[in-house]
Amino acid sequence: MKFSSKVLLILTLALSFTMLSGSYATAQEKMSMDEYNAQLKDWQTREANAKKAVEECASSVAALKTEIAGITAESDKIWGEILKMIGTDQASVDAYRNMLKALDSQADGLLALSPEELFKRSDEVAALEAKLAEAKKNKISVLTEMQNLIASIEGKITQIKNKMPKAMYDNYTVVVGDYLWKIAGKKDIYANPYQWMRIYSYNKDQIKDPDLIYPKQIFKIHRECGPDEYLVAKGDYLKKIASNPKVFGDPTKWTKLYEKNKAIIGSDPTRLYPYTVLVIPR
Amino acid sequence: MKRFSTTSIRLAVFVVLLVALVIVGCSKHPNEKQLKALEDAKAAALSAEQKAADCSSEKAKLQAQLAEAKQKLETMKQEKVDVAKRLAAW
Repeated sequence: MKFSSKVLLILTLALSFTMLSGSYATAQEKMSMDEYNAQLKDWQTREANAKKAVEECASSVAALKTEIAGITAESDKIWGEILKMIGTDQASVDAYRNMLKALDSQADGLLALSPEELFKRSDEVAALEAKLAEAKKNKISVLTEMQNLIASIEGKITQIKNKMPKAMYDNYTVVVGDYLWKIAGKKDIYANPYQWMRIYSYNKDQIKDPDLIYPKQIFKIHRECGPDEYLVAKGDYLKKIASNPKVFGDPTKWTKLYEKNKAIIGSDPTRLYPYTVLVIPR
Repeated sequence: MKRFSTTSIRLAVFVVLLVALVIVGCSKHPNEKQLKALEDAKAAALSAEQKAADCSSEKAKLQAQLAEAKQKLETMKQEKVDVAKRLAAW
C-alpha cells in the first residue's frame, strides 16, 4: 500500500508536469488574447492610415492630371500657331522631317565610303547637296528641329568633301623675262620645259595666248589630279581617256570629254598634247 | 501514523491534479473566428498599403510628366519666337 501511494504520487506529478509543459508549449504557439488584441489593433491602424494616404494621393493624382492636360493643351495651341505662321500642317512637317532624315542617312552612307569610292560617286555627293539646297527653300526649314537636321547634313557633306581626293597646286608669280617653257623647266616647278602645256591648260582662264604672259600674273602650278581632272600622258587619246575607269569607263563618252575641254584641245579632237590637264565633266 | 501518511499523500495528489487542471483549463486564447478576423484585418491593411504604394508610384510618374510638359511648353514658346524671327529674315 505504501509503495502504491508513492507510485501514485510520482505518476500524478509526472502527469501534472506533462500537462503544464504542454499547456506552456501550446501557449507559445497560440497567441494570448492580449497579443491578439494588440495585433488586431495594429492591423486596423495600418489599414486606416493606408486608406487615408490613398485618399490624399488620389486627390493629388487628379490635380496633377488636370494640370498636365492644361499644359499639354497650351503647348498644342502654340504648335498650331507656329504651323499657321509657316503656312503648313503636321503631315507636311512629318514628310519634310522624313525627307531630311533620308538625306542624313544618305550622307552617312557616303561618309562611310573610302576616298576612292567617293571619287567615283562624286555625282551622288553633288546630288545630295542639290537636294539639301532645294529642301532649304521650304519654309518648314525654319523650325529648330529642321535647322538642326540641316546643319547635321551640311556638316556631313563638308566631311565628305574633305575626304574626297583634291587637286593640289602651288602658286607661281610671273616675273619679267618669264615664258611658259622657262617656268615649266624650273627645278621647283616641273624641271621639264615640255610640261609648259600643264601650266597653260591649268591656267587657261588667265592665259589667252601661251606666248603672252605678264609679270605679276599668279599661275596655279598643278601638282596632283583632283577627282574631276586628268593629266594627259604620251600616247593618250580621248577614247582611251574616256574608257579609263577613273574617268567614265566608257570610250563612247569621249565626246563629252571633248566638249568640256574644247577650249584647250582646239577644233581637232585627235590632237591631244601630253601634259594637258583635262577637266572631267561629272 | 501510517494511515495519516497515506491520506496526506492522496490529498496531495488530489491538490496537485486540481491545480494542474485549473492552470491548464484557465489559459485564454483567441478562437477560430477571432483568428479569421485577425487574418482579414491583416489582408485588408496590406491591400490598402499596396494601393497607397501604387498611388505614390503613379503620382511620382505624373510629377515627372508634369515637369516634362512644363519644359515642352517653355520650348514651344521659345520656338514660336525663333520661328517668327527666322520668318522675318526669310
